Parts: sequence; structure tokens; C-alpha cells
Amino acid sequence: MLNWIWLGLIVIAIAVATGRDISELSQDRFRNGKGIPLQLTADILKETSPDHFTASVFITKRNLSGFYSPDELKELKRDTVFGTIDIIAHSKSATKILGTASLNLSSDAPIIWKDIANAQGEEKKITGEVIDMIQEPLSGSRFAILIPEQVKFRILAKVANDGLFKTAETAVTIALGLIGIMALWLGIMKIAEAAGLITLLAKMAKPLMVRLFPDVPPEHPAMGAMLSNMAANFLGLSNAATPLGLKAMEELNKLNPNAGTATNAMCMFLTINTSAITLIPATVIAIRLSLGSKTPSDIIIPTFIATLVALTCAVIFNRFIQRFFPIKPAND
Amino acid sequence: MIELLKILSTLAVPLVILLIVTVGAFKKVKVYEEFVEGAKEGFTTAVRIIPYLVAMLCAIGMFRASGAMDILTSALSPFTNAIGIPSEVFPLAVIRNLSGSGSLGLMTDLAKTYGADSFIGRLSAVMMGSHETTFYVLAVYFGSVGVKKARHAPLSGIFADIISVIISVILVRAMFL
Repeated sequence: MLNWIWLGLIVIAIAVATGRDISELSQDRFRNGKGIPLQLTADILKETSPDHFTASVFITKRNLSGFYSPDELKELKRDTVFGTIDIIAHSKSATKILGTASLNLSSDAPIIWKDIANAQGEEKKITGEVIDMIQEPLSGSRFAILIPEQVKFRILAKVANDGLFKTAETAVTIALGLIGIMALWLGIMKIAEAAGLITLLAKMAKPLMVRLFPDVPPEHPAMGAMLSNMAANFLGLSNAATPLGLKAMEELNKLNPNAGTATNAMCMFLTINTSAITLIPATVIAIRLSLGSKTPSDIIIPTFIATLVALTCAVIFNRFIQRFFPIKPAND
Repeated sequence: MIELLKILSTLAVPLVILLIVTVGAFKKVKVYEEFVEGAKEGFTTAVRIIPYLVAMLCAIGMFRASGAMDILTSALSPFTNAIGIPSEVFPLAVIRNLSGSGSLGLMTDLAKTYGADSFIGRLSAVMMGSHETTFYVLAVYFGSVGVKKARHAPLSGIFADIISVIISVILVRAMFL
């Protein structure tokens, strides 16, 4: 099952990214290689240091729509888009400057510009070449023509960079971040075990647990570990829940005759865990409060009922379908 | 009532630890030694889940970066509209299984855009509160004991999520609309 989900996610991701990239290239969405005419606001370039120039620039919506496909500019709010441009000149004369440039975008820049910036690895900056400064003969307005670096296969690049490399790093950060909290709760758990508290907990909830996990002996330490995980989840102690849950998995695995394959009890335990039943969804309430909700905690009751119903349905469903997933003894 | 519950959840950790340690001491458990013994496993368990976590999160990361979510959302929108899920909220219903930080960001966005006390704001909050990042839990829990064949667990997890989305919509409609 996980094999298919995993394969599916990867294949769909690459197929979608390739498709979107090819469609962008075939429509020439970014007008690669063409220059954007940016008009200088005060018709002057300020020389901040030798060969470094800066100016505030603008482009009208009309000029933009002559340049990009009109669909790109639908969400544009104003008729003029402003920005500032920094130029490092390679050659200059009285009327003309050639150089590399970066256009700093304002917050109301069109999405296509933000996409170009992102493809170049920036938030709000488009880099490229400035090829000319045209003094329009009639009006005397001055333009900087910016040719952005070409944008090709940006989504595939994003899939590789953000999707693969960054998440691989995140995964390790998450795992390593668990070490401390894991050590803490596993230590506490060990004391509770030695003090006989886990067995006591298991005895108290025995009627329920025996029905949920018929394959686990009622007095087995796995029962107590699973219960303490459920209690932690219920009280919203999410950083305690994971270590206790992993402890429970370890105990359940001691009863597993086929290493590497999940037992019925493991699947049931996972199902209960993913139903996320919680007394108080504290994070959500905090966010609602910060966003100015007048009654931030009125979501507690619907949340609780939703999780309770989901939990009950999922437990029944899980029990029902387990027969369709027989355990194949590992021989590969 | 709610204030009481909040206080309870704040006090839970210190009280639980106090209870365990005092009962342990009362039963003549060598508390410090036992703690260290148990805590030893923390490192190995955390390191053991790395390959599973990398595998799962990378596949999810690629899926999200590719923009396949938008396509999935628009493909399923006739169906989701029919059962009353606003199309703005549906991406949250999908992403909450895949990424905790992603869904938190999306929920915050929705509440900001439409108002925390609007129908969409409330629905997204309920969905967020009743969510669990199913695939993360699968990777971490099964990974910690080296289980690669998950059998029916992913299916039950997804089933639980679908049910909780549907119930959330029904309840929020009934209570706040």
C-alpha cells in the first residue's frame, strides 16, 4: 500500500511539473529574451557610486498587457506598476548604458514577475541585462529595457530544490529535534513502568482495550504504553504523545511474528492515532484569537464531535477491512 | 468550563510527572537510574525514523512543489461542492494529511482572508483541529519499528480523515450558518 502511495506521489509530481513547464514554454509565458520597457520616473538615473546606477521606474498596465498575455494581468489592481532598478554598467555613453540590472518589485507587482523572481531564487528581485536607454524623441521620456534571465523548467527545478533537497533536510531536522523530548518521555515512562503505574492504567481500561486489541495479551506492557499515548493525545500533549506512541509500537513489535509487516494491533493503534481526538485544539484556538475572533473557542465542540465520530467510524472500518489484507509471511 | 479545561491542560504535564516520580519513590524505584535507562532509547529511536521520514516527506514535498494539489482540487471540485465543502477550504482537507506546517499556514490564510468568525474561517479551524498528518504518523510510527508493509493502516487513516471532513462540514453548517 505505502509503495503505491509513494510511487504515486512522485510520479504525479514529476508528470504535473513537466506538463506545466512544457505548457509555459510552448506559450512562451515569460517572453524569454525580450526586453521589458521600464520608464524612468524622473527621467534620470542616479549614479550612487562609479558605474552603479539606480532609479525608480514604472510601467503602465497597457504596456504590460502588450508584453505578456492579458490573462496574466487580470488581478493587477493599479494601472501602473512601480519598482526600482539597480544597474551595474559595463559600458556607458552620454545616451546609452549597457549592464546587468536587478529590478526590485513592489508588493503590487504582477504575479508573472513574482514567478520570474522565484524562478531566479529571489523573493522580490528580477535580475537580467539592461540593454538600452531610449530617449523617446517626442516626450523626452527615458526608458530602461530590462531583459530578465531566461526562465525555463522552473517548476521541475522547484520540485527538485524545494520538494526534494529542502525536505530531506527538514526530515532530518524533525527527527533530530525529537531526540530530547523522546529521551525525556521515555525516561519518565520507564519510571512509571517500574512503579507499576502503566500496568495499573492498563488494568483500568482493560474492557475497552481487550476489544480494540484482541491479539494483545491484556497484561502486556504494550497496552499500558498505548493507553498513555492516547491519554497524551487526548490532553493535547502532542510532544509527549509521539515518544509514548513509539514506545507502544516497540512493545507491539515484540508480539510481531513477521518483522517488517504491520500486525492488526499496529494498524488499529495507528488508526486511533490518526483520528486525532483532542479535548482542546489549543493551537487552532490561539490562531483564531490572534486573528481577532470574538469567540475563539466555539470550535471546540464541533471539533470534538467530528473527531469522535471519525474515530468510531475508522475503528469499525479498520476492523472490517483487515481481513482483506492478510499477512504474507516474509520470504523475500 | 473552557477556562477549566485550559488550566487542566497546562497543569497536566507537571502533575503527571510529579505523580509518576512520587509514586515511583514511594514504591522504592531508583527514579534517577530508571529515568536514564529509559532515556537512552531516545537517541536510537529518533535516528531510526530518519530514513522513513526522508522517504515520506520528500515524496510529499515533490507533490506539493509541483502544484499537483491545484489540479487535484479543481478536478474534485464538482464532487466536493456537491457535499457542501466550499472550494476555498477543500485544499486544506487534502493538505492536512500531508503536512502539518502547510495546513497551519493555509488555515491561517483562510481565516485571515475570510475572517476568523466567518463560515470558511470556522470550518477551516474545525478541520485543522480535527486533523492529524496521517502520512507523517505512518512514517514515524511504522518507521520506528522498521515496518515497511503497512497493510490497511493507510486506508483506515484516510477513511478517518474523509469522515472527519464530512462531519466538520455538517456540524459547522448546522451550528454557525
